[in-house]
Amino acid sequence: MSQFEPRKGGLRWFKSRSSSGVGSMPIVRKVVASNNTNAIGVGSPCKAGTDGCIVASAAGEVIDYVAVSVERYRGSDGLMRPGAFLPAATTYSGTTSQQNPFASVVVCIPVKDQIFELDVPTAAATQTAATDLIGNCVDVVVNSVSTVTGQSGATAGTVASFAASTAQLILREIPQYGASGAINDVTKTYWKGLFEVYEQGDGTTM
Amino acid sequence: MITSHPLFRLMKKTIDNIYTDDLSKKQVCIGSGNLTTLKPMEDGYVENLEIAGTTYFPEKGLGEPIAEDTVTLGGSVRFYPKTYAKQVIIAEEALEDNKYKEAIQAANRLTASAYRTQDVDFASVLIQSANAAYPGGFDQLPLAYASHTLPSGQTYSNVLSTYSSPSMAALINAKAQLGIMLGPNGMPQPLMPKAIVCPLIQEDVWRTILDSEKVVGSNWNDINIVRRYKLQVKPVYHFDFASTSMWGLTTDAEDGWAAYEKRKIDKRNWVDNNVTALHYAVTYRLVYGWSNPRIWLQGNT
Repeated sequence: MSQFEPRKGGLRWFKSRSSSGVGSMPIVRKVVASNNTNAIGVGSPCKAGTDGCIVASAAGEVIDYVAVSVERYRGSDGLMRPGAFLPAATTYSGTTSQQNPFASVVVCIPVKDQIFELDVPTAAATQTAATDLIGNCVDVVVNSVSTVTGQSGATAGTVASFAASTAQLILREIPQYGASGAINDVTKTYWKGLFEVYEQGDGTTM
Repeated sequence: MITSHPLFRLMKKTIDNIYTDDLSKKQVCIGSGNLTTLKPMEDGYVENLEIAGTTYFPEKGLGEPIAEDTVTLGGSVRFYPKTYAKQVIIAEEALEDNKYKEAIQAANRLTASAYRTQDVDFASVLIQSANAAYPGGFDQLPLAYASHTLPSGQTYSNVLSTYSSPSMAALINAKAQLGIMLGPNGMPQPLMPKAIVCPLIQEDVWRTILDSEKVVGSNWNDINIVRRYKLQVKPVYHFDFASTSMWGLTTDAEDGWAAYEKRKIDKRNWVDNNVTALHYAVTYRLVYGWSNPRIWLQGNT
């Protein structure tokens, strides 16, 4: 028996793998590709291209960044604005550089050496079964970005989809939220795992 | 990190009312009048031990020596505190741009979450009471168990002989079972029930059972005997998400719940000047569990 699991979408920064005590997560600003077609929300996985711009990562694609917020984008009314998320099909004209006043710019976390918390949408049979998943890989289920809150709907794949073969994420830990297993109970849907990005890009693909 | 950008709508005063989470410190498990209170920890850990003493007296014949008895050390249980912590990181620009003081309230939100976590965490001890994966107490067995072991190896049960839905008969059985509860030495050490702990959805069912003067019997003339038990009803809404049928009785057994607090809920904040961000954090250190399982009689799961 256990509590239900409060849900939060997207990849959520939990800690740095290689450094503790620094305090803040690494943050960079990245220009979005001018022909971007997918929404980028809070916690959305993104990948980098050779020209430095980014787009949302689809399932199975490399992940280089996790979006935090949108510094600016050009709305359909032609006005530049900040926001919680970048709407889909937010194209712009001009160069893909921060010098372009129309370019969409996303604030994001480079994933190298970072640990993210992510919901796993299906229940594990037992704690032991969930623990056995540590070290296994799984792809992100991208889901849609909320057009109300901007929160990414991304989750990990199902428990059944974890495998020893490579995938976007690798499960590193199952965080303990309380003294007993009634909080973050892995036998409930949407339990929380701590993941590291396993398939990072080298900036040569888009 | 909270940046300015998602707070776009908070940058100018255009919103009249903001509805947000309950930021109170309300708890239903922890605190005076609830299931237990947090006791301070003087040392790095707490250790409690069960000791069984002497038992019944035999007859001594003329000239025979007096029979010997002794004390037996039973199991001990140690409680080490764990630290729980969470932080909110806010870019200074976000604080500068935000026009609504009620929007972020990082310290208040974290504090409220800490109180809520403490509360649900203690509820978890009861939610997992019959789960073999969460042993504890002197005998390192689940809280609710039909064969708790005594120092002598004898066993006793603190689960109702037949799990029952809320009823007068269930309470009568439970009281009788507590009346023959065994002490550490294996001799009956009668206990009294103090409170019914149940999901919120059972609260009114129990009040109906407990509060009426007469009960259905011969023309409503039977006395409602369980009313005389003077039991409190303590609904724990955290249970409702786990099981709506579980309930149990707390008893007057000593050294029951363990709720030790090494560090009270503590707020702190600091500035990361390198990235011009403010960190608000709340931490606390505590440990939950039980020493003496006789504090609990499980009525249903």
